[in-house]
Amino acid sequence: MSASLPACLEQAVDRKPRHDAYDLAIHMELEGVTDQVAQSVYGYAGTLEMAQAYFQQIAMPRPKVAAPGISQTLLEYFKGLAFALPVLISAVVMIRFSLSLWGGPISIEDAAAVAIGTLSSFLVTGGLVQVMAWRVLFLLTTGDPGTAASTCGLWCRRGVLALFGSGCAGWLVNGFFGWMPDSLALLAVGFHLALGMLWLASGALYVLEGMLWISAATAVGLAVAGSLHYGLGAGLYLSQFCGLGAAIVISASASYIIFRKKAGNKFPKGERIPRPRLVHTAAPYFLYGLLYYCFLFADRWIAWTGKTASETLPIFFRGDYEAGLDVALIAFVFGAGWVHASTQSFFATMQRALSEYLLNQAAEFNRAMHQFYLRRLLLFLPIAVLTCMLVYWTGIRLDVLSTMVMRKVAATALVGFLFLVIGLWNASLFFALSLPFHTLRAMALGLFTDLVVSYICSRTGHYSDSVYGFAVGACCFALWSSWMCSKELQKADHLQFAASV
Amino acid sequence: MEILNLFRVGTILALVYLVLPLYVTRFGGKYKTGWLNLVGPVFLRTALFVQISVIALGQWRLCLPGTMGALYFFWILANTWHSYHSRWMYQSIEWKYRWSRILKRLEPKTGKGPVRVTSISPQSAIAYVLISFIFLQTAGFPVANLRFLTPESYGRALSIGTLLQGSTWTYEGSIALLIPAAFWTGLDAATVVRLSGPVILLALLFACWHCVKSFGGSWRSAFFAISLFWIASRWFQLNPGEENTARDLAALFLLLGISHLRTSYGYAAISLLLVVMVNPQLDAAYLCPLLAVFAGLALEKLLVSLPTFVSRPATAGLLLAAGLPAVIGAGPRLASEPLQYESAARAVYEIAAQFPRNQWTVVSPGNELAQIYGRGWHVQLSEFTSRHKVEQVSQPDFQFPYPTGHVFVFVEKKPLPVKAMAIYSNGDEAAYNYATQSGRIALEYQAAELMAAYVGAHRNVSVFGEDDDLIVYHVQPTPVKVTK
Repeated sequence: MSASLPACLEQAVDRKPRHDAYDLAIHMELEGVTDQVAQSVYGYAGTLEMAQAYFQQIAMPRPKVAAPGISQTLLEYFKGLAFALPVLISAVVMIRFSLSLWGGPISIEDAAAVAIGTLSSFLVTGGLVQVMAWRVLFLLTTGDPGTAASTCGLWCRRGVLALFGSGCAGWLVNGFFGWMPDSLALLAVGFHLALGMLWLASGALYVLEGMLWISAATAVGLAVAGSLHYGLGAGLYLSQFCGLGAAIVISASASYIIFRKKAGNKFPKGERIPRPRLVHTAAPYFLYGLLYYCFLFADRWIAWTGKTASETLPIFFRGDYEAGLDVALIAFVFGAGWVHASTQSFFATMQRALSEYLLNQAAEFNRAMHQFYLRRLLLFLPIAVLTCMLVYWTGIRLDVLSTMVMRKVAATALVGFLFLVIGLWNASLFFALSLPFHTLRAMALGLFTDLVVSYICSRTGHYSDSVYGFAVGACCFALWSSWMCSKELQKADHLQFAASV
Repeated sequence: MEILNLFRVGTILALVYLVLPLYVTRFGGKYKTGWLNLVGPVFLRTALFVQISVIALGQWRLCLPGTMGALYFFWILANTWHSYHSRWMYQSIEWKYRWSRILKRLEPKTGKGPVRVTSISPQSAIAYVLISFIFLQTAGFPVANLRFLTPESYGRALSIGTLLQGSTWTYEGSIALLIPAAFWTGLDAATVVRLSGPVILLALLFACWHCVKSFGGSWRSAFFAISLFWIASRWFQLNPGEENTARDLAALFLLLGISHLRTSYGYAAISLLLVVMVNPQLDAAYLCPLLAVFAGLALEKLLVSLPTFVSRPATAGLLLAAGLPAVIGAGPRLASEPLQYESAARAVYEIAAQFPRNQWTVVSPGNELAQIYGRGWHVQLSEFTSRHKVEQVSQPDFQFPYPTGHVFVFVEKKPLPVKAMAIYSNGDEAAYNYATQSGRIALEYQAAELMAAYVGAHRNVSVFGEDDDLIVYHVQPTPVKVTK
């Protein structure tokens, strides 16, 4: 600190550096330098003028926060990709051994039942996993792993209850409408329960960043299913259910072990939040999870129910449609890695910008954040287009996309996934900046568009035209959320302050 | 089971045409008048909307559950929009307010709220009892029998079936209002047609009551009107509620139109438009309930004009005289010729319940098609007998050329008695086979001969069902397995 400073200023800045001249003026007044004192003793017009005169002298250079390097970004990118590791393991085992934890070489009717069970498991658990992740992450970051563990258990139990409730409801609804025979309905409910529990257990592990555990659980599940089916000659479904059971047990045990490591043996009762407050605060997270999976599966559902008048079931699994979507999903996985890395990078940049700009430079701070957002978006687009083209080309070269329907679905879904990645990035920013309703609005718009376009296209044309709805819906989601995000980032300083309160 | 199905049809029709539109119209409290005054307008508006939607979508082959569901959803929203003065749908503050009300309901309750009991006067209860008896009489046949009574009903079921499947549809105004029931009850078209008759009759009886009330009549006039209508319709063998949906619906809308004449020309016009749409062929039988209403009103006027010591016993006597025959269902009733054996209809329903959708084929005369459409495949018995010869089917390696895993052949042991409905002319094989007794006998004989030859040479055939009139053969060619 400069030796030429008056004693009052020495006292005003001795604890920590002041943010700006106004801040300094307030502290000077606290030290007794009123306007009168500033005039009579120091010869300034007032305290503020004196603070402005001395501020440049006492302003300390702020500690610089380094920009994330390439290696850090890459690491975050691969962390973002890690969720696809179990999928990769499943795909390899499926190609090599024709075995998976659900589906496989089964009749088309059974495939429909398994597909319905899979979809419904995602729909029921999607919202609950989001809420669980939100609460548990909050408690972990506030240093209360014991309550976090109990809360995680509480939401898992609620999830299991929801699965059983929805399974029974689904069974009754099927009985009422007679969509499929009882045996198939039972199969669908079985996979709904088993997969739903697996998603809940995996959700807990994701929150705890135990990606490798999820992969291990998947691998063990596949090994159990494989040894029962091929080794002991057990039925495919029995083997798969045993495999799923093993995967659930491993995931749940791993979550328990990690929580125990964090919290010791202290597991107090879960959070006791009054019900109205819980519902009010958790609703956006729950709705986001629900809407996201609804959006992801809406076009499939419409394609499966379109033109089924002469089929054996009113809900009919379309293998070629699914194959096209699965190929396009590869591009989405790469995009999801980018979402994770970009979100991390956004907040690192925000920290850096906070250290660079003073309080009276809010406009510059906002501009910097806005420009970062636009730069990221512009950087992503050409890379994503190239990735999509590469995936499509590889699919054709490897003859995975063997029919015209598959090619059409894959090409359109690639466009859709590209937009979906952009939308998801915006969604992650909105949630981090405490603006969940922007995400919900954009997602609801996308879902509505998806449903309308998919329905009209598939009912007036071929069932596979349902994929256009997905592309248009994703486009609406991305454009609306990007527009809102761009608008909101022009007041990034306020959002940063509001989110940190 | 059929009682449950009747409940399903009734519930869905009531929800679609009355409960939901009525609830949303009153939502927000714009209308301070009693809900009973809104029943007629709400029903007419919704019926017109559904009628026009189904006709338009049916022509474009887009009358599917999703499309109809979406349109109906927007219709319900439109009703809400109309009813609530502050336009809650686009005001975020309203949404926040409603959300906070939902949250408030989640708070722990301290005491029980007041319990409201709707009271029914003893006099009205008498009319309700009469209506219940008439409903039970009408519902008896469709609940106990799976076959239809009239050829029009088979056509109507087939028409609904083609609409549900998105096939080319020929305009049939009387089925449009049944489409929501066909979509959302999960029942097949034939069951909806069969069980909607009593529900529509119920609506017609309440429309009689409504009409009487709109002309200033009391429960007594309503009682007389309903009784007289029921007795007259039985006397003239009109059989309301027994599948003649078109006529019943037209009469219902006519009554509602007349009753709205004094309050709103708009709704009267909607009613008359609906009369023309559901049954363009004007029928004098529409007038039966209307005449009964005026007779009921006249009777009450007469009783009121009499001195009290005469009017009281006269009222009691007239109520008894009119009510008793209606309650016990006296009077002649149309003795219709069966168009299909009941066992044949039951066999179709059993097959549909036991075997996966579209994996079976029924070979039978044409009437089963209405019950099969959309669930399995159908081959005309005449086509079956003309395509195959006894020498051909008696070969051990012969297989019927139908691509399903199960083929059911219906052979009448006693050919169905046929009232000649068409004159056989040169080349009209269908008319000869199905509409003349000799043609039917010949057809069934050929079918029996073919099946006897097939059974003698094959092991993949069994008897699915048999009674004195009918035998159903079950042929099982090798099932086709499709893998993912």
